[in-house]
Amino acid sequence: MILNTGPLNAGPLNTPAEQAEVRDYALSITLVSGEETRDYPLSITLAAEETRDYPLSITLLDGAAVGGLDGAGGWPAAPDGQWQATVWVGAVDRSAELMGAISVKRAVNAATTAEFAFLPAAPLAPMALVGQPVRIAFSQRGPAGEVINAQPVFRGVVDQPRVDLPSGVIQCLCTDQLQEALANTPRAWVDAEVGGRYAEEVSGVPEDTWQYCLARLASVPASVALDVLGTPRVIPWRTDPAPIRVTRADFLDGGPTLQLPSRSELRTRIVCNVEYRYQALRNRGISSRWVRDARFFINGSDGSNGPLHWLTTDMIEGAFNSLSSWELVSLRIEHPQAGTVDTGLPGSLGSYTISPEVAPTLATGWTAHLRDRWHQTRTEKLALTVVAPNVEALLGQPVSEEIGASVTAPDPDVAWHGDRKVAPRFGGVTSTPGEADTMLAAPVGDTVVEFAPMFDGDTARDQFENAVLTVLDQARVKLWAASRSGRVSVRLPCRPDIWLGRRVEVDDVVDGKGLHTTGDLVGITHTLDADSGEAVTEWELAVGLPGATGYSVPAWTIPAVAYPEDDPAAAPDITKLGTSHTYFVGGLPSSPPFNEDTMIGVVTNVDTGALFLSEEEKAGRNWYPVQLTVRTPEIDAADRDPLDLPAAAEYTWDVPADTLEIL
Amino acid sequence: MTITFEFFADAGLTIPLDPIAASQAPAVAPADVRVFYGSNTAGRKLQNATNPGVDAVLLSLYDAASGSGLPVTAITLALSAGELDTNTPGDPVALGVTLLSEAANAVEVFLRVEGGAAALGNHTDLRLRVTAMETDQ
Repeated sequence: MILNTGPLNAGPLNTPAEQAEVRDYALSITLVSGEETRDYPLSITLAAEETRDYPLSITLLDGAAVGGLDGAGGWPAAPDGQWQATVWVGAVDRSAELMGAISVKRAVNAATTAEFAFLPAAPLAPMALVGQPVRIAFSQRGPAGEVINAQPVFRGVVDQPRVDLPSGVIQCLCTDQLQEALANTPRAWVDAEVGGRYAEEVSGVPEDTWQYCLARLASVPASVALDVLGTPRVIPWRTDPAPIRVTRADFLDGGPTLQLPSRSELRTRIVCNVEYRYQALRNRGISSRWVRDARFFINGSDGSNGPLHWLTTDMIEGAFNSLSSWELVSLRIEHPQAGTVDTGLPGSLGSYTISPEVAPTLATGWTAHLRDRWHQTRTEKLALTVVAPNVEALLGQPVSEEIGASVTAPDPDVAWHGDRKVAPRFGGVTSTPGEADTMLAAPVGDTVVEFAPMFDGDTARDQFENAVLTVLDQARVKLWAASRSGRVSVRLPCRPDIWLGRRVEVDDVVDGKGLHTTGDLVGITHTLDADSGEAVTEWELAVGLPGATGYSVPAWTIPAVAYPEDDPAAAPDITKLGTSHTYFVGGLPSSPPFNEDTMIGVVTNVDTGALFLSEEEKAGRNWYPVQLTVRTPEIDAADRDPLDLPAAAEYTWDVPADTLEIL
Repeated sequence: MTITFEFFADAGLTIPLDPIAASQAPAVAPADVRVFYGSNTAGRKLQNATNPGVDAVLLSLYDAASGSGLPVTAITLALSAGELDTNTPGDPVALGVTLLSEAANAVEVFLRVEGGAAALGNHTDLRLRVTAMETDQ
């Protein structure tokens, strides 16, 4: 830094005689920065170009390996049933070491599992097997034991090895990591692939994306599973464009078995109870008016009983500014005109003069507007019933289940009620006090603040509507899932190529008797005996109730609740929209004793000075405190207390039905 | 810096694919495979080495045993299932100018296998190839 200073005094020295004046000179000092060095960092990354290859393993199959069925039997290329398994554990091919059965079991919405056992040719540490990648393929066994037409049936990891100590055989229990894979998957992928609806208020907070995926699947007629390569696939129900047909000639061990839906699983209607709770910000405006001609005070309340003590400006302002719960919006005070008035009364009472200085302090009445505002807890309660008429007709009676959700809007700013300068606030949106005042300036009657969560466009209202649509979609899926909880199982010669979701027509009708049904493939178990070379596939089909109802997407219309402010009959009556007040005159022969509880309004006395009453006469009359009181109306309990707003609707939706004939 | 980007079976980059396996019956129908390209190493990016940030990272097919096994035209690459019908078999696809690591940024890749008249059996001569440079973000 450099210190710059200017000259302090450039003039001549003063003589002692001239020292009568003392003069100050400002000292200005500026500190400026000197030379500075500043470095700007450069980040340079030297990276080498790299080429990385990713191996492909492509197996071209004989068309016959994926042919057959529809009465043609199993895989024609393996007519003698000679299969073999290829099992890779990590980088080691364990195929030659396999013992006993190798099984792969897959089902929708569940991890595929595989089990196999092998006797290692060389010692190994079984713990090292945990988590090792596993690939299993089933293939035709060639004449020399060679692998032909290998078809992948499993990809996963060793979940748990078990060791038979006497024999040294290691059994591996494997999983395809469905839950783990979905848990790691971004939600955006689930949103795009699964679709459907999701509401935290309905499904709760999911632990991970797998739970989130299941929550979305609850509203979509679809399932999910990893395919044989490990890729997640969403499997829509009942949409396979090329169903497979199997007949008795294709089955092993006789024929299919049928298990119909159980009574505990079937549903004909789902009742959806959805609640939406919020604070309605209510506002009521009331009026107050009392105006008399000046002669009311000059001539007396009946025009002949002499002047009264005046109502004053201070009394009115004091009365209205001291109201505890009501806010004064506007106040207009009527004043008598200054001047002299011929009263028509005899003698010295014949004229009455009001000076210009005094007139503004006197009042002949007022017109005021007041308002109050408060929170009212409201709960919109929707009871929505989704009915499957075709299922109900089949069962002959309703079987229902209830599901529901509750959405609560965040409370408004608590200061809103107590501090009239505070605007209501929701979801981070705050209006300025001026805007709030504009909205709340209704003169008389009830209003509801318009950005409260009871109105469209509010975040909480949107959440509520999403929750309603979510439970309705879930109700639809529940009805359908319950109706297709029947299962048909068939055993076939091994078919590794056919995966979940395929639609299968089972035609086991011979000589007019048997089972004819159609269903989605929801479970597959492949079992291969490594010793004998026999391999079997067992299918499990989800079959619905009989019928021929196609699939349609229902349209949901959410019923609207009736708000009390929209009902003229629920509007506050006139006694609730104004202050209570009248007038009372003391000092008259007819004046009753003063009662502060009942004498609400303008309370005054006849002017004793003008009436020339004796002390005895004065003592014989009732005299009042000259004052003004107004009584504001109460807000009815029905307007303040928590309010339930119910609405109901019933939707009919025929569940898609399948072919199911037992002949 | 070694390329950490791999092919996975799932969008969560949980199940690595080594190799990427597919089976197809040429006499029946082509086989489509859906895979995801990404890296679980945090804070990495993959760019074209020649013109980083401008030119795209290409995914191409490489035949390690040209003349035997399968030709590169047995595979069609695409970034969507719909493009499998329009892209030219054997052609590379542009994965993007800058590929960021972690599951949220994984690139979806589709492969269609059509073995044609090639010999039945297992073929391991084809590779997917990426030539690029990987750096910190």
